Amino acid sequence: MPIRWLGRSAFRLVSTVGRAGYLAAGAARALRRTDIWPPNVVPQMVAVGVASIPIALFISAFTGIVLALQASYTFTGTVPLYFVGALVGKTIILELGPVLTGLALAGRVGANIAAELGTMRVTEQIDALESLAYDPLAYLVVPRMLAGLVMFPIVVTFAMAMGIAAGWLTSLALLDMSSPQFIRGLQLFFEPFDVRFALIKSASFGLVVTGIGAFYGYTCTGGAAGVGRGTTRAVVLASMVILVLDAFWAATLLR
Amino acid sequence: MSIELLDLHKAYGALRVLEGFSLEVREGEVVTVIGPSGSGKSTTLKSIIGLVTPDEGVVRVDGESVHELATDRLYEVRRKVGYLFQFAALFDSMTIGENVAMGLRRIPGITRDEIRDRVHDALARVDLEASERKYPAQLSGGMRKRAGLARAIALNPRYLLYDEPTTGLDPLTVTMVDRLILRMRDELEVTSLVITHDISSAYRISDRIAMLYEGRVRAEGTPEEIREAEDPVVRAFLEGRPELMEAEA
Repeated sequence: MPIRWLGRSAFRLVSTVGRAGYLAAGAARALRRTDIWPPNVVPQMVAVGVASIPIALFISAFTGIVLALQASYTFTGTVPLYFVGALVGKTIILELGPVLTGLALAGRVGANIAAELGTMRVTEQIDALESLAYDPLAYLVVPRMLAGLVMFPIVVTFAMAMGIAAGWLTSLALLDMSSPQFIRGLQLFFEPFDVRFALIKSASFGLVVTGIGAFYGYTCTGGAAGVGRGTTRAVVLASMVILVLDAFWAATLLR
Repeated sequence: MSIELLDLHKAYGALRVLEGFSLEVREGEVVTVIGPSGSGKSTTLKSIIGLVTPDEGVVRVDGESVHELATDRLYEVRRKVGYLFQFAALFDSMTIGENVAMGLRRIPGITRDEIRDRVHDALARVDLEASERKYPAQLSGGMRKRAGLARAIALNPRYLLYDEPTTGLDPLTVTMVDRLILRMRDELEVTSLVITHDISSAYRISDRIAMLYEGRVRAEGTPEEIREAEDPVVRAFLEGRPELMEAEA
C-alpha cells in the first residue's frame, strides 16, 4: 500500500512539474506575440502592484514598530541604543520587507490569479479566447507574470521605506531616541548591495507568485470545487517556494 | 468548401469518447449531431478549431488539415469558424460590446470605426443593440446565447459551430434561437454544425442529422429519415425510452 501511494505521489509530482514546464515554455514562446500581450500589461501592473501597496504598507509598518521595540528590549543595558536603527534597517531590507510582502502577495495576488484564470477555464472563456484567434498564454499569463516581475520590487521598495519609517517614528516616540541616533544606526552596516539583493529577491518572488497562480488557474478542472482547490494549492505552493527562494538567494548572494 | 471529420478517435484516460467518428458538413448545410450526454459531441466540435487534438484521425476545414497547421495558419482557420459555446463563454469582465469586438481586434489593419460598425451590425442581427453596454451578468440565459452568437458572427465566418445552443432555455427562447440559426444560414450564407440533444430543435433546423453513439455515427440522414429510423438505439434516444436499447443489447 505505501509503495502504491508513493508511486502515485511520484507520478502526480512528475506530471505537475511536466505540465508546469510546458506552460512556462509556452509563456516564454508567447512573449513573441507582441500583438497580443502589451495592452494588458499596465492594467495587470495596477492589479498586481498598485492595489497591493496598502496591504504591504500595513504589514511593514507594524513590522517596523515591533522590530524597533524588540531591538530596544534586547539591547538596553548591553548595546548602544542607536543599534536599533541598524537592526531595523538591516532586517527590513534584507529579510522582512521582501519576504513578508511576498507572503502577503502570494495570498492576495496568487489567489486572485488562480481564481480568475480557473473560473475562465471552467466557464470555457479561455477556449473562447482561442476560438477568437488569441493565444491565451500571451493574453492572460504573460502580462500577469511581467507585472509580477516589475511590480513586486516596487511594492517591496514602498514596504521597506514604510518599515524603516515606522521603526524610526517608534524610536522617537517610545524609545527616547533622537533622529540622528536612529540614522547613525541605520547607516552603520548599510550596504547599497542590500537594496539590490532585496529587489532581486522580490522580482523572483513576483515571478513565482504570478507564475504559480497562473499555472493552477490555467490548468484548472472540475468546476467550482476545482477552482477552490487550484487557488488553495497556488497560495500554499507559492508561499513555500518564496521561503525556498529566500534561502537560495541568501546562500548564493550573501556568501 | 466543407468541414470533414475523418475517422476521429479520442480518449480521456480510460474513457474513449470517439472511436472512428466521421462526418462531412457541406457548404450551406445545417447539420446537427445528436447523441446522449458524454458521447463526445463537444469534443467533436472543439476538434474542428483545434481546441482538442484527436488521438487519431483528420479534421479538415476547406481542405486544410487543422491539426497540422502552424499557429498563425490555425488562427486564420479560426477566423473562418464562429463558435457558440454551450454557456456562451462571454468574458464576464467586459461589456457585451467589448465581447463582440474581441475577435475583431485581431484582424490586421482594422480601424476603430470598422470595429464599432461591425459590433453594432452583429448585435443588431441578434436583436441586442440595446445591450451593448451591459455586462454578461446583467443578461438572461437566452440573451447571453445571442450575445455569444453576435461575437461569433462579427468575424463574418464561413462556418458556425453551435454547442448545445438551446440547452437550459425556455421553449419560446428555444424557438427564437432556432430561428436565429436559420436566419444566420439564410442571411450570412454560413455553413452550420450544431450539436444538441434537443430533438425537436434538431428536426426544425437541420438539413441533415447524425446520431453519435459509442464514439461513431450510428445513423445519419434528413430529419424525415431519422424520424423514421428503425434502429432501436436511435428510437430509444428519440423517444426517451432506454428499454428499447436494453432490448437491443
